[in-house]
Amino acid sequence: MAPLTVRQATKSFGSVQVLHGVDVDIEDGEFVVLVGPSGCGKSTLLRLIAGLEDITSGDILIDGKVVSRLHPKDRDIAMVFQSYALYPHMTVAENMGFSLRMRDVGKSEQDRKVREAAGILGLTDLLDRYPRQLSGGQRQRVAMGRAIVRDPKVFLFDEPLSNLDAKLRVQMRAEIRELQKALRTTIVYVTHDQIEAMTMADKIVVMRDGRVEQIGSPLELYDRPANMFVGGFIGSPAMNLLHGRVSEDGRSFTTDDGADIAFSEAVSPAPGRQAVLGLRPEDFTIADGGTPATIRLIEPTGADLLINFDLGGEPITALFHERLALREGETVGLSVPSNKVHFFDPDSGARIE
Amino acid sequence: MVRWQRGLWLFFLPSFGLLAVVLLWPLGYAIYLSFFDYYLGSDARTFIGLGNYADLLSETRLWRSMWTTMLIAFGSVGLEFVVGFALALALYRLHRSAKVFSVLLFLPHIVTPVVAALFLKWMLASNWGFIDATLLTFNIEPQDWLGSPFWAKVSVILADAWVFTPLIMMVLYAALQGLDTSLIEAAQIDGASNWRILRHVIIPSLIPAIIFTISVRLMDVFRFFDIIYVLTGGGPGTATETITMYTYQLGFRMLEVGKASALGVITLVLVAALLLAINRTLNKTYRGGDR
Amino acid sequence: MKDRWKSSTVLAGALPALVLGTFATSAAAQDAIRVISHRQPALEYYTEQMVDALPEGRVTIELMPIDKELELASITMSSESDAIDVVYLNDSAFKRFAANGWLEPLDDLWEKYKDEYDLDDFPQSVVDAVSYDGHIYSMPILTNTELFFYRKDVLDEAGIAPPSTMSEYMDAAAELDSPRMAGTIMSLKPVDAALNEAHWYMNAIGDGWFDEDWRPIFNNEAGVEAITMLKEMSEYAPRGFTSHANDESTINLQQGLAAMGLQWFTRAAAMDNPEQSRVVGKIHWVAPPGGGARVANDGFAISKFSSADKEEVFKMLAEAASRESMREGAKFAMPPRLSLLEDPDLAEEFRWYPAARDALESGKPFPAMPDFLDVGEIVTRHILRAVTGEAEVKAALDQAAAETEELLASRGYYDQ
Repeated sequence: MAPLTVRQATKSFGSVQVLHGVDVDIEDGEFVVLVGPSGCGKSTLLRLIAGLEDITSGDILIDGKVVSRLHPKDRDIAMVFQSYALYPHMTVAENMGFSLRMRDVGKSEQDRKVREAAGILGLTDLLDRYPRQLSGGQRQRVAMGRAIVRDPKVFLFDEPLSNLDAKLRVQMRAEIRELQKALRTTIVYVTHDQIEAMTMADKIVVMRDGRVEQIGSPLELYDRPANMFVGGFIGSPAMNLLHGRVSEDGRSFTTDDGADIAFSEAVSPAPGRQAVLGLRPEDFTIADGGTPATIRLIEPTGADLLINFDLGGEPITALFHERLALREGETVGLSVPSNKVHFFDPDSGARIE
Repeated sequence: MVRWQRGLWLFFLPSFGLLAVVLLWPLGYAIYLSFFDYYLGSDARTFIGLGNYADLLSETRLWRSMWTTMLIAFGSVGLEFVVGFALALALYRLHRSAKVFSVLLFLPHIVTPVVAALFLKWMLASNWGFIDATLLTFNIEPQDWLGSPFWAKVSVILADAWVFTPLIMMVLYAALQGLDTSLIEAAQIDGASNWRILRHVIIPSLIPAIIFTISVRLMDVFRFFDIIYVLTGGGPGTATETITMYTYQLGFRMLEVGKASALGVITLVLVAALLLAINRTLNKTYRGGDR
Repeated sequence: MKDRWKSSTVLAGALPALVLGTFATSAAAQDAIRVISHRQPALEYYTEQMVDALPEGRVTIELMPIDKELELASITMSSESDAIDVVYLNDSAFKRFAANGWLEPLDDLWEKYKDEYDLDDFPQSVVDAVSYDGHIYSMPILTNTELFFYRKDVLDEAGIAPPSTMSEYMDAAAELDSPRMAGTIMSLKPVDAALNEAHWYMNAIGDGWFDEDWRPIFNNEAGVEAITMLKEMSEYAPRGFTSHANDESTINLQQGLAAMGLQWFTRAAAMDNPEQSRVVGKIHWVAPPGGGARVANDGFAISKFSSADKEEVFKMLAEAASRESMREGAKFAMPPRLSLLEDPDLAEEFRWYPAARDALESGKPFPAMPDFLDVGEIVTRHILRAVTGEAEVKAALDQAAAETEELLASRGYYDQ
């Protein structure tokens, strides 16, 4: 339970620079998720925090103390690995008690702490089993138990749910979140799955190519993405991005292919400006006065309806939460509320207010 | 499973035939001969049942040779294992230059043991050998490397280690490559020092490879011949006379083929028993790893 | 395309030619007479004579240390292979090989060529030495005795007279022993060299090896005393003496690394060889102090299993053993021919002949049993254990005696 600060962290592997001056501030007891596509540097950042990699320049502070050059065992952190990293020849109890053994804690004290952690995670019956005798979910819990026993200042998770099947993943997500609320620990969690990020985080750090794209709460990132990348990354299905230009009167947008989209009120970018229009699939409504679009493909999921449109030559994805009586090939009018549109600069990708 | 068809056994014949000729028949013949008193010079064979075995097992010379064999065997393998493991770990930590070093370190093994032994013999020869000459230039009185009972044993152990350490190094290095690094990282975070990581994480994971190398080397070194024969011929006296050297003496010098065969059979039984014992012990200590 | 075709035909043609060629040369090699021998200066000379006796390429010679040579011969002949035609044998090895039935009897050929090669010139004692069970099995080639070599200049400087007893020898060696030059050489490599050295001590101080019934007596009080002295003497020997055979000891003397010691007559000439020796003219000889050093009669025998033309081989051996050849060879070894032994010029020409004559008088051959070399295998190992301190002298000799008795019993020596 401690605040964690990353200041201008840079990491290079030889001549290849992987992190370019990352700054992150994490409060005591916060659940922070590092998310981004493969190769964005999130795992590297996590390993820097853990001390498994040497930081090239910059600092890491845990609870106010500079730990940038300390050995992992001196940083008072615990880590749950993607492959769980359980010691195969030790029982569950021994796995969980290993760190205490390394600190020469007495046997009875070891037992007590292990039982305590096992109780929290529902592992009490499995204490004498070996990792090879456990299921994926159980191994996960043992890995977490090992971390809990340490009672560290910061918990680090490196894509811990990637190896589980979809159903188990949903269950474990909730469990981890519950656990964090109960223990009130600071957590840094790495994942490539933005749904995990959205559902679990207090704060999300979106990364790309070794740089922080945006830091904010899930809803902040959803409602006001700072740039085109974050807009397209957060939210599933992804935001539709249309290149074009705002009309002279500021009340419509013409795409490069010539389609016209009208808005109920004037939009913020300067009239006549080149911009990228961002529209979330779930924000569309079918209205008679809307921009005409032809239905290309209808994909019903049971709960929702996912429809691919052709809007004046541009492919558009839309998501509806009710059953509509539509057929492929039909043309309908699409409209978007003007408070739900996003504009980005076509060159820098930054959000235009 | 392969569905058994007619004539499938024909495919076994070539390899089995080769094995039978090269392995099974000589073995069988040796066991057969061991029951005879057979001096090759006179070509007279008399059946004496277990006479040879009784003679051998009550001879001081045999027991002394067994003791020498144990000493040299465990000394060699112990040394090779420790050094080989240390080198493998060292290679494991090097990232870039590992390839170059591993090739260089492997060179002593590429040379046949006999050639290596000859070369080492010249290094260790008294007065005009390389080592003696170097020590003499510094006015240090060298020991009789091949002529004193104690130093002869040391020389033999070092010679075997020189030839076979690279093998152990390579096998363990390969095994290390297969290690899950996240295990080591987890242990580092858990606060284990390097020694403890070695003991609790690395060695248990390497148990199969360790058993393999130790077993194979012990098996080989019990049947040690080339190096001892070239370096000391079993001497001085009987200081480096192992079971195999004694068998050689009996068979090829004294031409007592029956007795030599009996000793060969005894060696076989001994090595097999030893192997089983090692396998069992190591497996039990480490609870079978994660298999 | 055409080039490729050409090279493959060339290869196709070359291959059978190569194969045939190797067969041809190996076939020719099969026909050549194969001689194996111990390596020492006299034998190098005599085997050269054998090569010269026949047309070029008919004879191949292989020289190697005697233990190896005997081992090779034993293994070859015990499997009745024709891989070896002629083998060098000293008196003890010779008896064993003859007893095993591995040698071709030469009586008929001896009779046939007696006049042509003047074979009566060999004294009866020499012919007896190369006979077994009434048949001649070997062509005598040299009589060899151990001599006591010493550095006259070094001894004169220290005011020491050449030793005539074993204790005088020990005192001299002790006094002259220094880091740069050992007091004495010592050749204790099993089996041949060690047996020679031990034989001398065993006769000079001990009571010999066996009694008349072939029971070992070398572990009696005198024998223990002999080996104890050998052990004490080894303090003044050069490092590595446990693996020194005649070659190494000769080099030690030649290089000035030792002051004196027991070596063969056949090595005497090497002392004055300017290409190898640093002590030309400085080495002198006397008969071994205490007497009892080894006298040997060596010769070349024909393998019973040889596929060569036995007559041709015999003539080759006789040529090498002819008077002219032996006159030349007198430099290296004592020629066993009467006409040469009594030649006064030889004594004048070679400085070591007087000592050799005396040594012949006081020397003793190995015990006349075919299995002495096998006994030697046992005994030399135990003597070495005693000398290197791995066992007490008495205990080592007792064990050697026990094993020897067991061996001889199994070979039928004590059957009445």
